[in-house]
Amino acid sequence: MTLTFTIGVMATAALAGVFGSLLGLGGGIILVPLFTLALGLPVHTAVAVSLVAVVANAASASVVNLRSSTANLGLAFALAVVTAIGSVSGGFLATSLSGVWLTGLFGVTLVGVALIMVIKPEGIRRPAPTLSPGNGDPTPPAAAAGAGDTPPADSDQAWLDAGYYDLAVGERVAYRPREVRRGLFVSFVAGNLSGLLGIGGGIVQVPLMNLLLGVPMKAATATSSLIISLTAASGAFVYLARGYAEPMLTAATVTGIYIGARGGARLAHHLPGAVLKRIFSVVLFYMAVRMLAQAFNLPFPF
Amino acid sequence: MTGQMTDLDQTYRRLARVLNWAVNLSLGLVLVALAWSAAGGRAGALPDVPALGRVVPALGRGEAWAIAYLGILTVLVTPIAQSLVVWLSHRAAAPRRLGLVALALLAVQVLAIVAAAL
Repeated sequence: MTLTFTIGVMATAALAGVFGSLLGLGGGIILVPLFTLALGLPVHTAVAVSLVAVVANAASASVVNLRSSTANLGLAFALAVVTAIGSVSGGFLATSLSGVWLTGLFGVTLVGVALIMVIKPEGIRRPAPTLSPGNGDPTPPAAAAGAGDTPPADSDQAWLDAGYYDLAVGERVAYRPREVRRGLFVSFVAGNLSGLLGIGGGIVQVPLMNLLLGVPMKAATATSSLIISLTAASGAFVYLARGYAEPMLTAATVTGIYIGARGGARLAHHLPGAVLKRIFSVVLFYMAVRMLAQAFNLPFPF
Repeated sequence: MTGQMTDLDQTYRRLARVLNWAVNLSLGLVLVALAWSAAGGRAGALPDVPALGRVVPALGRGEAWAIAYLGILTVLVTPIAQSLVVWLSHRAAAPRRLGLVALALLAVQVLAIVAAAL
């Protein structure tokens, strides 16, 4: 790997990191098409390298989320078991697929993500739950979270109770996730997509936790990062063992995405997220069409 | 939770510490590998060896390559360390169910490595 190529990889990864942070994505969904279309890397290599970078990025974000207790540890571990199984099976599936199929699948996924950004640029979210009294106890405000009735304190899911201090409103938010069993299947799908396409899977996990489990948006995002940091590595091992995650390439990518994500997080406070998402959805559509054209060997003028 | 720290609070802190160490160590290693490679260190390509050989890399493929590999492995084994921390913290302490779930995740993670290596 030449120095110029290394710098090119780092710059590409940094770009993916910046946009990932700005758009609330892990970066993998941007990194894989950039690597395959702009740098001409084989899709399996791009997916493998992206998956390792996504784990590193999620782990780094989780440090902050754990310190502030925004991530729900119990929920993360409960969902991580099936997500990890999904990630490994996704990795095996991807490594058995041809590059054409994998590129095509990624193209279709990109179309889906771009559509979500156009339709709901502010994110699919449940209204913020009513705040608990602010005494610091994770009294489950299930009604506030949309559950209908508050489960008893000794309920089967009491160990999943969590709370965090929301700086934006200056109060403690406490909640109890509901219907966790129903969320397990969706988590498996998220893990499978992660291992298959080299993405974090947050695009599935965050809406799942917010809409189905009634977890507040901030906690859902933080918990999703923790789940990714726990599970995406399982899929990454499959690629590593088959020689797709070239170490020097991965090293440059991890460094680039780390720098980019930090820069993007700072920029995010100054830029209008919803407008950015609408603009970026056009870029995603473009990348999707190019990946589909590449998969089906169709001529593409641009 | 307002006064005394619960077992769960301590687990949150322990886990954050483990992750912080792992991220810093891994980032440090990949930066050293990149600098080494830029300075002319060997960063040979992956030879055609059996899958197990790639999971446990043999020496002789280049110093920069080996350091970068170590950096990647650090990232990838961190989830196992996380599961271990949570399992050990909640084997006896409440909530016990968290310890059991962490043990289940640990088993899945180890099985994933074995399955990938075979």
